[in-house]
Amino acid sequence: MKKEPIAIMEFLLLIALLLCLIPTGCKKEAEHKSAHTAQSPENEQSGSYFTIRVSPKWHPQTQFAGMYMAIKKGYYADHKLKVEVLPYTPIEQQLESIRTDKSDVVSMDLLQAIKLYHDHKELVNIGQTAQRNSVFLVGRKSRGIRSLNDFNGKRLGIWRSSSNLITKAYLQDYNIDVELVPIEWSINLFTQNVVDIINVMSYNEYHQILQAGIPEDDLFVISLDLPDYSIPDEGYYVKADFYRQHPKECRDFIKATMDGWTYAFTHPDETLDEIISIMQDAKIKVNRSHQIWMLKEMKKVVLANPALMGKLDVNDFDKANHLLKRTKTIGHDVKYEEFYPSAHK
Amino acid sequence: MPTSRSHSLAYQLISFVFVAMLLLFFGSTLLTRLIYKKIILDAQLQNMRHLAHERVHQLDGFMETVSTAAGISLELIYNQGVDHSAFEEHLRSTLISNPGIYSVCYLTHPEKGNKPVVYYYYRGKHHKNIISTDHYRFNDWYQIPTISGKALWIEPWYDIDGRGGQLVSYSLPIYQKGKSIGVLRYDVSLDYLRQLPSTCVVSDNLESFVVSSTGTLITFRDPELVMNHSLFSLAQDYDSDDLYNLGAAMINGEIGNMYISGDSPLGKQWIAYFPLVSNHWSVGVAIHKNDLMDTMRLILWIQVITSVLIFLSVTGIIYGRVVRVNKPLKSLANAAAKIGAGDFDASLPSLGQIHEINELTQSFASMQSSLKDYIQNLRITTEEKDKIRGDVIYASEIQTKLIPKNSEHPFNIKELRAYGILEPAGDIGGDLYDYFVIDENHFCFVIADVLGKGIVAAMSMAMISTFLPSIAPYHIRSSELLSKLNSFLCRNNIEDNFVTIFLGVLNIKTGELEYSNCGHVPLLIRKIDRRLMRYNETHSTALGVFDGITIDSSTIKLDVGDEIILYTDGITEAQNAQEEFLGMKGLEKIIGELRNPNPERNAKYILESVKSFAAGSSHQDDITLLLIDYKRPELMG
Repeated sequence: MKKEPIAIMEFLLLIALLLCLIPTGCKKEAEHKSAHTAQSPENEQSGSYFTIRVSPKWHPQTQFAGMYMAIKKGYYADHKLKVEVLPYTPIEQQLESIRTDKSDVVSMDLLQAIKLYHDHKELVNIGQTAQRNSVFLVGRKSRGIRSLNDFNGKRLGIWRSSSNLITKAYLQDYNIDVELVPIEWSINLFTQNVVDIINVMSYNEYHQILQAGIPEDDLFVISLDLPDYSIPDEGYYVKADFYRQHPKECRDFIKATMDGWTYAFTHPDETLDEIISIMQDAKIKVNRSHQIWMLKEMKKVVLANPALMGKLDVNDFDKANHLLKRTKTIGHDVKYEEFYPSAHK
Repeated sequence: MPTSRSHSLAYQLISFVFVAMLLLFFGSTLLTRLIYKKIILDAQLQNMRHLAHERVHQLDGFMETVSTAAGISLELIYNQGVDHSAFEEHLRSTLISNPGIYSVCYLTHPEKGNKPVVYYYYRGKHHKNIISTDHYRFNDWYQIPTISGKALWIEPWYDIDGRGGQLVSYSLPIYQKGKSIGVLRYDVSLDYLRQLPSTCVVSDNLESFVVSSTGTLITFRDPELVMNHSLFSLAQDYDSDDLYNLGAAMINGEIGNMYISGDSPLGKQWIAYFPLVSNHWSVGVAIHKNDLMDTMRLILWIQVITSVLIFLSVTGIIYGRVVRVNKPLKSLANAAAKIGAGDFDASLPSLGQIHEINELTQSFASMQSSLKDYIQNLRITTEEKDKIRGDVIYASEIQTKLIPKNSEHPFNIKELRAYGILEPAGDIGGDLYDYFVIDENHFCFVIADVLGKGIVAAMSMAMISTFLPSIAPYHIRSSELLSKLNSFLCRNNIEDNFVTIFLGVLNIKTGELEYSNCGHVPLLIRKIDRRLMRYNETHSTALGVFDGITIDSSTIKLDVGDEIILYTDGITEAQNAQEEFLGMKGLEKIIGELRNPNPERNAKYILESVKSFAAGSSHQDDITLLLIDYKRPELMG
């Protein structure tokens, strides 16, 4: 296995965090001029609103529709919350931001978050957006990728963050000898045939590949929504201290966000109009058909287990814990109740 | 005579020409449209392909300039490194002389624990930074040339680390002793690219656009779509297979043209496309189908207007000519009406320039002359016929007067009742019946049928009816009377007509009847008990043919109440509608229906019955009946 560059980077960041751990003042006064903020006529006048600054894992898009619609429909305001969605930054900066109290909530993959907790006991889960895994491994039949064995000797574009752990575990379990090329977001390495296989999210990059003119019937696709690998990805995390101090606000934030998702799924047109407007304001590449696709796919992800909507399932957590231990990413189990303190609430 | 369905010649000619021209017009318009559409479409698409090619050539030229400048920079790096003034001067002059180059970036890989270093040049300014993060390593412009080892153009990207904005970059991997040491990147601003003449709108109705290797719109008339949409995302938005096929053709580097249906931003447009050589982009030139067909539409309008003008002209000419042709025809029609009314001297139109009308007029004049002569002859003939007709009527009256006038007791003879009927088939006939008194005891009666009809037969009848009474006082026997008559007829017979005749001489006192039947139908005597006696024997052939023939006679004695029934073959040979003869049986059947002897009533009954039988038949013959009933004096109360 290749050396893990991400782990080194995170270690360096942790050192930097310890050195720079200087109080940055009241988080309610945080300024993010470009942030998307819950609007309430009372916000500016009343001091009773609790501000939560969210650092998302990506630029505004339908992947975060629950949050945006909760802002738009005033679900956060109903709980006396003022939510600011900060501009996207790479994961390292997100972590730096929350560690330095420039943000309160980050969205992250479960595996990545468990590993972080295992290493630093720093961030805890307050709610889970995704209830299933959305990773696809995609190759082109026309370039000879017609089965898993065809991966051998080829280049595979893989997330550079630790959200690639599922893919790595899968490849390891099947003894696939493939050159891993870390990628962040672009599918161009795949469309320009620099890599032969790429891992993508079903709700995002997979559709981007289709919109780049690669016919669906030319694609060989492996979905990792498989019994041993179906570990949900995106959830919301805060510092453990933050949760201890504001447990109600954290729970209210998740509840309002899930209400936002429910509204988004039942009002897709309005949701898409809102998201596209936000994306256009942020000067982000957007087309409606891609956002429609994303909303449909996110519905499968968020409502995979409707009874657990917004919650971290202990089985998923155990599965993730097990995979991380099996791949020797972590040395010991992380406790569910510690990692997800609102589990017993 | 004009009918409600008839139309004037002008109307018929014009409507016929209108229909014919309409068909020709539609046919020619369709053909013209078909041919012109193909010609114009082919020409326009060829023009558009040339235009696309020209723009591709210009764009490739620009790209080539950038890649050449990048190549020179690479040589300098290889030869002298980057940390010296010559390299900076080279970049400064390159950026000045190439306004399209937005910025240049040179980035070294981290080596031996050293952090990567970035050199960034922008319009006379430059800076060198040590990079503390490594997210740059996951940008396309860095990853793709580094991994592939090739210099190439990168898909448009947003430079958040540099001066911002959307860029298109030419990235080159830099090697030292076979080892990759960094990446050199030449940036072109998309904003600059969009302002190039080769990517702008071509004309009022032609516009060009550029798509990247993934079909993303790099330039397009609607800036909202640029970088947000690819041809494939538009294909999804508008559910357009055409757009998808266009995108596939363009990113596959094909040259061609395609029509895009539907309501997408490229809908209802013809697109010609041509690929760039320097990268996998493609340039499209689009024209709306309505604009493309403007020329053809103009041609079709000209054709329509021309056709309408031709139709109106032809209609006017036809109408004028028809009126000119109609004028002598109308005169002829008026003349015909006058001639029809009896004015055979009505003047005909003078001859004109139309040959057919002249021929018609001459024929009409000839017909007028012939008709005039014919009518004159007809008048003479009619006058003559009327005269003959008058003679015939006169002869008929004479004939009527030659037969005895019916009275209940002829010559006041109490023992006898007689009633005769003679109905000639024409004005005059050849039948005869007569009776007269020879002396105080003898009563002579006769019935005859002269062969033929008309004047000759009537004359023969007249001769017989005058001859017999004249010789009867001298020849009391029937055979003698008829022998004399035969000799007379043979001597004076006209056209050898023969006569069948029955003549009887009745002794009024004794009831003894002596009779001769010369070729005539049998004598019938109806007894008082209604039995019918038929006497078939004849006593000679018909008279008037052979002189000197022997004529016998027979004698019977009549009983009281006997009714003598004499008739001609007009009775027995009467035909019904089925051309069946009445015959003797038919006559006997009618007689069987008679009641008590009464000559007048029975004669009329027989006549009506025969007429009833012959109703509907075209055959007609003289019909003559003579009925006499006898009551012997000594038996009369």
